[in-house]
Amino acid sequence: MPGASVKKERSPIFKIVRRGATKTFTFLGVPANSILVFFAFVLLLLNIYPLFTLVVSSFSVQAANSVPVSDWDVTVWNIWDLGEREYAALGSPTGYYWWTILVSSDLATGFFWLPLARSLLVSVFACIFSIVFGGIMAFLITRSNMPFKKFIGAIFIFPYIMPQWTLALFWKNFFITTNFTAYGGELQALTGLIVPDWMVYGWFPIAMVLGLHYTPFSYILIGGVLQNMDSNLEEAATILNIPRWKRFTRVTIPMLKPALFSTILLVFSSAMSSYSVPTTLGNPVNFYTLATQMKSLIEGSGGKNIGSGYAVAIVLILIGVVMLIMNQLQTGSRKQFTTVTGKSGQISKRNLGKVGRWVIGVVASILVAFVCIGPMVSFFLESLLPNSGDFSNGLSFKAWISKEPIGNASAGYVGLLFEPRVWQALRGSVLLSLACGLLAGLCGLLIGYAVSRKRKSALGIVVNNVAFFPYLMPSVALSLIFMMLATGIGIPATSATFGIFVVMVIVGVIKYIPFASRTSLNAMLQLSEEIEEAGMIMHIPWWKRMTRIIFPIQKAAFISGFLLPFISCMRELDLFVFLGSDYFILTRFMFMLEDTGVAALENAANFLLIVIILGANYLVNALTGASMDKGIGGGK
Amino acid sequence: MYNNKNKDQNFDNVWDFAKAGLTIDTMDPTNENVNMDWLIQLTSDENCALLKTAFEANTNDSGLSIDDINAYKEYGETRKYAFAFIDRFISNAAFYADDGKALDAFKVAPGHAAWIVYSKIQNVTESADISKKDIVIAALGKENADGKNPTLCLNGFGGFMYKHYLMLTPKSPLPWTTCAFINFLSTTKIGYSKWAGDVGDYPTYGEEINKDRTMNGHGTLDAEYKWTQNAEDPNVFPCLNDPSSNWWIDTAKSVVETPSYIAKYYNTVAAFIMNAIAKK
Repeated sequence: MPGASVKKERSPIFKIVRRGATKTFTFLGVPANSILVFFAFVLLLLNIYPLFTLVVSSFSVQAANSVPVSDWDVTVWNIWDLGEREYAALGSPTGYYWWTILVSSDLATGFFWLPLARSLLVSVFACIFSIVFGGIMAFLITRSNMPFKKFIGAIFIFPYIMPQWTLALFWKNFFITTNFTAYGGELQALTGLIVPDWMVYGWFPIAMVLGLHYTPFSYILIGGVLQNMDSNLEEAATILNIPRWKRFTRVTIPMLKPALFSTILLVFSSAMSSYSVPTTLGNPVNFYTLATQMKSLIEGSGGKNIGSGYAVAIVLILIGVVMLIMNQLQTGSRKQFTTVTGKSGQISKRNLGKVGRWVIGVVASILVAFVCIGPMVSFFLESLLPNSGDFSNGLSFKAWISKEPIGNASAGYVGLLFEPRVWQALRGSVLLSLACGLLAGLCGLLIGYAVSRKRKSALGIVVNNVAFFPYLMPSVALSLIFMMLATGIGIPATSATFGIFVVMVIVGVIKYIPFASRTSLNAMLQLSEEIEEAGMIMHIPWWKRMTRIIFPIQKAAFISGFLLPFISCMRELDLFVFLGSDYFILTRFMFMLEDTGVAALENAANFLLIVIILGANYLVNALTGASMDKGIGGGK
Repeated sequence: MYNNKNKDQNFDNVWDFAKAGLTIDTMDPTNENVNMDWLIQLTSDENCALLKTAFEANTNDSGLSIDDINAYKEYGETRKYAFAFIDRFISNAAFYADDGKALDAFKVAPGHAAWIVYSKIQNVTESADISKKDIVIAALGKENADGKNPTLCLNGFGGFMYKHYLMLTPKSPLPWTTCAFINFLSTTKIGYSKWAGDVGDYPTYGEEINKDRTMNGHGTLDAEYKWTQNAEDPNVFPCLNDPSSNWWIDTAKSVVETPSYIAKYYNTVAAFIMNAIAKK
């Protein structure tokens, strides 16, 4: 027929490719899928590459003349009698570093096995303390008629906001006795009480301080569950005459299991890799943990043991991965309870008694005020003393307002308020934290949205777990890896350039994506999908649905996802310990001030940092309703 | 140095610092390369000889016998003294992450010794309870009144002298300017002035650009503990009357850092030190 078109027969391969392309574009046309694919690629690259670098480095010679070719068991080679030793070439494969920390007699015990046992001990007790203290306070706040709830709830987040080592410093300043120094700490000065030495330095104070630092986690996670838990379940058990202890263990605890395991995961892995607290409260009595020994191996001996340090870092990561898997296994099997009697949505509050509620309220308030506000008071007070704990001269604002140099001449620091390097470091901290907060928050928001929409898909599960992985990497190790990468591409790691600033932002974003993504995921899971579906039916584009529907509804929770990285970054030291100059950010500057031996300066800087962070938290809360506790997973 | 507040201690031999039970506040050698370098440098022949002589002197109150020293004889007949001293030092040491923390602990702990940078003691703020009067630099002794005519009060070595390096790097964008700046810092009075106020800091190219610190400890301390230094006034802080670098090297026999020696013997001694730390 004239004008008729003849359809060209396509090859089978073309048909397959076209079908595949159509499916791919359809798949990627769904925003959640595109986001998941993008972040799967980026997160795997950003997590796997550093990890791969770490593993490869632990199996290759890192420094010239450091790995002997043979006779590894001769750890101290007597060069005077045995002559020059033969060493493996730089970059060549070796198992020496792993042998050193796992098998070699003296070094393995002192630098790995004993510190590992100590780290485990400290982490377990930190978890126990955090859960018990946080859980009790959460119960009293949510399920009792105790007074002063608002006050306690408002300040309970403070220990998390303060840098870990400042809490350790507070503990030492408070509990130290004349067994260690010429005059005791604040407790001995006020009451004459001399506490046992194990309360001042060693595993106990390390565990207490770490537990205290992470107690807000357990308080918020457990409190969140208790707040929403239907008391009908417990009432059903009461009606069936089940004893109280059995009600607690067979009804309440199983409901709290997800929160408990999340707390254990967070607290345990953080406590295992903590460096600053064991340094302050362990080193003086030779109580070394895995993290402190790891840093010694990485920094010490001219880099000759750096590979052993990498091996220790890998062990720390593996421990975190095991915790994560255990957490997944436990929370994966969800059990439900059915009440025999009717159903209600009521939360009953435990009556503590007319007098009892006030007694408990006052005791709880004093205890919480001591651990939450006490450190700030201590830092401010210490900043007014000529020497740490030395009240003999009275108080002076020299560390704040002196215009003459304090300490030895070459350091040349004046009072903090007039010291230009403080403001320079503060500006660096704020810029870095803003950048990390915004980027990590944005990435977390997108990841949380995509995972919530596709949480049953394999890709969703992978992205969800990979997004959490950086949390398990020791901050010091991450800092070191990126220092190596920066140096490798020509950016001097200790410079104060824009290039190193970008590297620091990248490191911060990687480290804090877990917080932001979990916050966003929790927020999205509370939001029903039908709300977004209504917008889809109206042909509203995705970006408009996000900005005009989803974000406004869960604004407070999402902003918390930006706030948490911001505040974590402001008080972070370990993550940036190898990056940037000493005056680049406030925490590095504070660490520098330690070296002056003028404790007043350091305490003044501590106080300043905490005030700024609390101020930022308060400001954001006042403007947007968001807050740190919503970020961790609590709040309404 | 040692804290002699309310004590009547007298450290007149380096081996006194090896006495069991003494606490030496110092920086961890694995964190502070200067400390590692000092311990390595101790194993050189001349320093081993100093340690041997000091061990055999009757001022040695360490309580160690020759059998204790012979436990290290595999390192050599003279070198055993250095390795024994290193082992004892590490055993007695309380490690801190930095000098500031070590000073913090030391200044409030009568009876403690410290191995820290000399100039750090200038950071001790005077008060009723804490004072530089209680700090004794072992080599200078308790009475040290004049840094121009000091009396050596310590058998063995007086301290450790390490260098600060001003380097011109291969890829420096402004090499001539860098050279000029290095010259300014190290050979002119104004350029060196930032370090001239620190006891224990000495220029390489002549003392004429340095500040005279030999009477640094003379002056007045008023009721509010405000210090005014004046060479004509009484000796308040003996520990601050700083002799010249020549005295420290030639008379006090301080251990002097030699990079080529340290590089050559680093592996052996550092491994020994790491083992000793592992056993703490």
